[in-house]
Formats: sequence, structure tokens, C-alpha cells
Amino acid sequence: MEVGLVPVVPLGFAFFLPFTAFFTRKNRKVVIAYALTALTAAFLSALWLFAKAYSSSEPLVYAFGNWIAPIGIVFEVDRFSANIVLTAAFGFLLAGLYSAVFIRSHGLEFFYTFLLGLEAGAFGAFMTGDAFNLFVMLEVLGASAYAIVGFYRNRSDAVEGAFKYGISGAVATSLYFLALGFVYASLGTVNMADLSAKFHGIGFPVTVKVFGDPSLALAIFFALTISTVIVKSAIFPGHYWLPDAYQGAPIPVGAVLSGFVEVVGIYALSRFLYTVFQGYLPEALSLTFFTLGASTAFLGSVMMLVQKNVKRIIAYSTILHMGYLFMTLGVGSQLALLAINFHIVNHALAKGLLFFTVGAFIYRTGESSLDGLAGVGKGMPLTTALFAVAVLSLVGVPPLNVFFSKMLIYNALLQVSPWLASVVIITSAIAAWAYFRLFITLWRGKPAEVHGHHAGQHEGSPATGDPGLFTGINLLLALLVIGIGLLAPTVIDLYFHPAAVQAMDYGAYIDAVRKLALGVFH
Amino acid sequence: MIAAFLIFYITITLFAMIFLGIYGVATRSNLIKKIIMLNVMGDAINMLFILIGYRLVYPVFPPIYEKHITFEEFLRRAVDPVPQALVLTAVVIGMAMNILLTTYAIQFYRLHGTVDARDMAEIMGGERE
Repeated sequence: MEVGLVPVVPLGFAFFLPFTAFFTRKNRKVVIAYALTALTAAFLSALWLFAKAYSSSEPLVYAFGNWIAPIGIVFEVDRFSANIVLTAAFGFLLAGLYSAVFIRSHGLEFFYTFLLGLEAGAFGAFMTGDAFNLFVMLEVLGASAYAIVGFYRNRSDAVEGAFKYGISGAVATSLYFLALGFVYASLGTVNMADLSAKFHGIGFPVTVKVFGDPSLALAIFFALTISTVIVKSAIFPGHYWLPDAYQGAPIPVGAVLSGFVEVVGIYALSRFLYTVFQGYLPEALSLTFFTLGASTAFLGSVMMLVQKNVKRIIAYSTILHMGYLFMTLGVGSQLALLAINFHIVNHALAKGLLFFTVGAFIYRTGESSLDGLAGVGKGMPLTTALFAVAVLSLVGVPPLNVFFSKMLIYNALLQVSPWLASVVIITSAIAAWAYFRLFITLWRGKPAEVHGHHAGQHEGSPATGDPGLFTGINLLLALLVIGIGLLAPTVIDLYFHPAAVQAMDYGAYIDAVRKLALGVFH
Repeated sequence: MIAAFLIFYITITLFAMIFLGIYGVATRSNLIKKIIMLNVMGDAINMLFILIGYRLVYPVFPPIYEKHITFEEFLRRAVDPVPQALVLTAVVIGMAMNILLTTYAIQFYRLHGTVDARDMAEIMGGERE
């Protein structure tokens, strides 16, 4: 097995799924079995990749068609990417399992096609070693995401959310393409290792000389890339599409969008700032990260207080956490990268648990407005308890996992200014109040008398019974949330610290590709 | 002299088109016009890429290296094929994005009989209350 095959697994399965569904007359069981096989295969290959990346001392490189680095496209996987890929594969597998029960409408085969496409795009974006390939993967990810957000195509909120997401995302990725134009015109390459070698003045085979002074091109590149990430990762001025998109999207999709798709922008920026152009980060750029990140965190937490729809509350909570990650990007130290990596993983797990427990409530009542969900928790005590675990973790209560990554973010920001670090505490407190309000509504609220009043917010007819599958998935995630929390120091030492050290080592990152290129000539 | 002016003129025009595209996406209220402005912007960026690889000299060589030309001369006279490859990819992606967005615009028209973003906001505002 080769490294480059990992994103091909979900993509290949996705391609043949509509045909399989067509030839089996859209048999629901066949579609589900096929999709779950695909997701399991993707998870196993991610596990293999994880083991391989952690046992190898240098980043893994795969050159497509054996075309060496500056000419062809390469995938370069280090531990930082490998642990996020593994988390993503796990999250997608759980989301796929969950959807098998949750999605009861027609067109399940297309739902799974888009889900697999989303997984392929996320894998590719996390694994790629080529800045242009990152653009392609952003578009693969984007196209699947716009399609799956509008899955309930007869509901106007889904169509509206998908259109907003689509047009904002398309403009944003075009800007990233423009950014690549500047880099290519000045540095003469779009390969990440080659870019890094040119920036640090290290020789690289088969490449052109730098044209002019690259500092202006780099400044424009980062300005445009940040404007892309602002939209893609929902940072303050570009966050407007996210609540609408999440309100329209099915719950399992929300879990993967929140955990892995929004994170791609943050990952790309941290790859550029901490590995490729390590040591760049001028004062003005740091200040941009701090200002925008802190405003995002405040906006997310305050808006959580005034929402009337549970999906929108979770959406603003995602915006809040993206704000934390964006703020931490501006610090520029190894601790900051460690914090970002650990928080990406922890946030994805805890947010997945939150989405899946809320999904169980929505499945039961058929509504996602707070009025419709009032008092539903009384009848589902176990799910409510797991919901409480997710909420406590996201607020940052020890010993749950998000507490430790928030603490690392706090420490990283403390290196800059105590005022900046206090943003994490203040916004967490505001968010805690919003979660508390939500919890009280679920547990003690009086059930609304008139159902079916808000036609646009219906999630489908109410279902009876409490599917054991939902509880099983939620228990597994809660176990991980508590387990990673309790073992946090060990987990950080074993997995996340080596990842941050390796990602900061740009010399090894360049050498892994350069060796391959030099090997061709000898 | 004329060549330098031409390159400058085209570059300025393309940047103006990019800004015009972003402005149009943000301010037009008709969903179809938004999609058209997205295309104006995307095509301007594609043209800019082609311009990066373009060599305004005469005679131009095809980008196939031959032994009897010196390497420096080849780099100066042959068009750079990499930006063209990148643009080809971006054009295909742009087409897929167009189809997807147009589908949503049509779907919204089917549901509510309008493709106006202001009506959309009104309809959705009513349903969110």
C-alpha cells in the first residue's frame, strides 16, 4: 500500500456508489452496506497511515506517477497531518453509521456519495505537499460540502444555506488561486517543499531561480490566503454563511463540517506559517490573527446566547472555537502549534458528541427549535447525560479533553499578552451560560403544545423509540472525550508533542522531498 | 516599450475585473447575476495566470526543449506550460461550481418563485422567527 492511495479509497468508492445504487434498484441496505464498507476501509487506511507516520523518523512522501517534486505533484505526510487524518477518518465513520438510521428520506445513495467525497477532500487537503493541489482539494471538499448541505432540497433553509455557502466558498477559493499566481510568478513553483527551500535559501534540484524580491509576493500571498481562510473557516467578517448552512444541513453532516471541514483552512495556514514559511510571521500578520480571532470568539459566544434554534447554537459554538484556533495561529511558537493540533482533535471529538446527542433529540421530536425540544431530555436520561459531558468538555471543565487544549491555547497566548489570554476565559464563561440555558430547556422546559407551527424547521416526522445505535456512538465518543481528558499528559507526550516538533522542522520537510528528487539523477 | 505598456494595461484591466467580480457578488441581489459575477472574477484570475506564463517576445518557441537552443534562450522564449495546466484544472472546477450553484438558484425558484436575495432574506427571516 502507498501513502497516496489513502484519499483515493473514499474517492473511488464514492465514484461507483451511484452506479451500484442504480443497478441494485436503490436498495437501501445495499447502499448502507457499501458506504459503511468504504468508510471502514478509509478508516483502516488512515490507521495504517498513522502507524507508518509515527514509526518513520521523517515525513512520508508519495510522488504521483513517480514525477519528482517540483515537476509533479507530491503528497507529504508528517505526524501533524497523520493524527488529524486519523481523527477525520474516525469522525466520518461514525457520521456514516449515524446517518444510516438518521437519514430517512430518499436519495441516501447521493448522501453517501457526497459524504465520501467530503472525506476524500479532507484527506487530500491534510496530506498534500503541493500548494496548488491544496486548492484542488479545497474545491473537492467545497463541492461535496455545498452539495451535502443542500441535501434536503425541498426545504428552503437548506437551499438558502447551501447557496450562501457555495457562493462565498467559491469566491474564497478563487482568491486562494489568485494568491498562488503571485507565489508562482515570484518563486517559480507551487510545491511546498520547494517553496520552503527557496524561502530558507536551501538548494533544490530542477527548479528555477527566484524572480525579484519574494517578500512582497509573500505578503500578498498571505493576505489573500487569510481572506480565503476567513470565509472557509468562518472567522469574523466571513462567518455569515455558517449558521444558515448548519441549520439546513442534516445533523451528521454538521458534525463532520464542524470538526474537519472548517478546520482545513486553519490547517493550511498553520502548515504555511509553521512549516513552509517558518519564521515569516511579521508583527502586522500576528496582530491580524489576534484581532480577528478575538472578535470571532466574542461574536460566537455572544450570539450563542440569543439563538432560538439548537443547530444555530452549535453553529456559533463552532465559530467560537475557530476563533480560538485562529488567534493561536498568530503566536508562532512550537507550543502554539501543539495547542492548535491538540485542539483540532479535541474539538472534533467533543463537537461530534454534541451534534450526535442533539441529533438524537431532534430524531425523537422532529424539531430543532428550542421550543420544540423543550423538556425532551427528561425522557432520554442517558442521552442527556452524554449531552452534558459534551457541553462540559466544550466549556472547558477538567478533566475533560477540551480543557487541556484550551489550557495549551491559554499558555500559548500568555506568551504574547495576558489580555489576549483572558479572551479564552471570558468567552468560555459566556458560552457556558448559553450551554446552561440550552441544558435547562432540554431538561426542565415545558413541552410546546402546538407542534408543526414552524413548517420550515421540521427535520422530518417524529420517530418513536430511542435507537440503540445513537446511544452506542455517543457512548464511544464520550468515552474518548473522558479518556483523552484523563490521559491528556500522556497523550500529548506520546502523540502531539512529536507531531509539533516534526512539523516545525522545515529542514526535514524539505529533505524528504529533495532526497527523492536527487535520487532520480543518480 | 509598447509590449511593456500592453502587459501593464492588461494586468490593470484584469485586476479591475477581479474587484468588479467581488463587488458584483456582494451587491447584486439577483442570484443568477451573483453567479455571473463569480464567473467574471474567476475568468479574470485565469487570464492573469495565462499572462504569468506568457512571453511577449518574437519569435516564440513551443515549450519543447531541443538541443540546439541554449537553456537561457529557451526559458526566455518558450511559453511556460505550468500556468496553463493550472488554469485548465481551475476551469473544470469552475464549471462544476457553476452547475451546482445554478441548481440551487433553480431549486429556490421552484420553491418560492423568486431568485432575488432580498426576497430570500425576507422568506427565511419569516421562517426563522
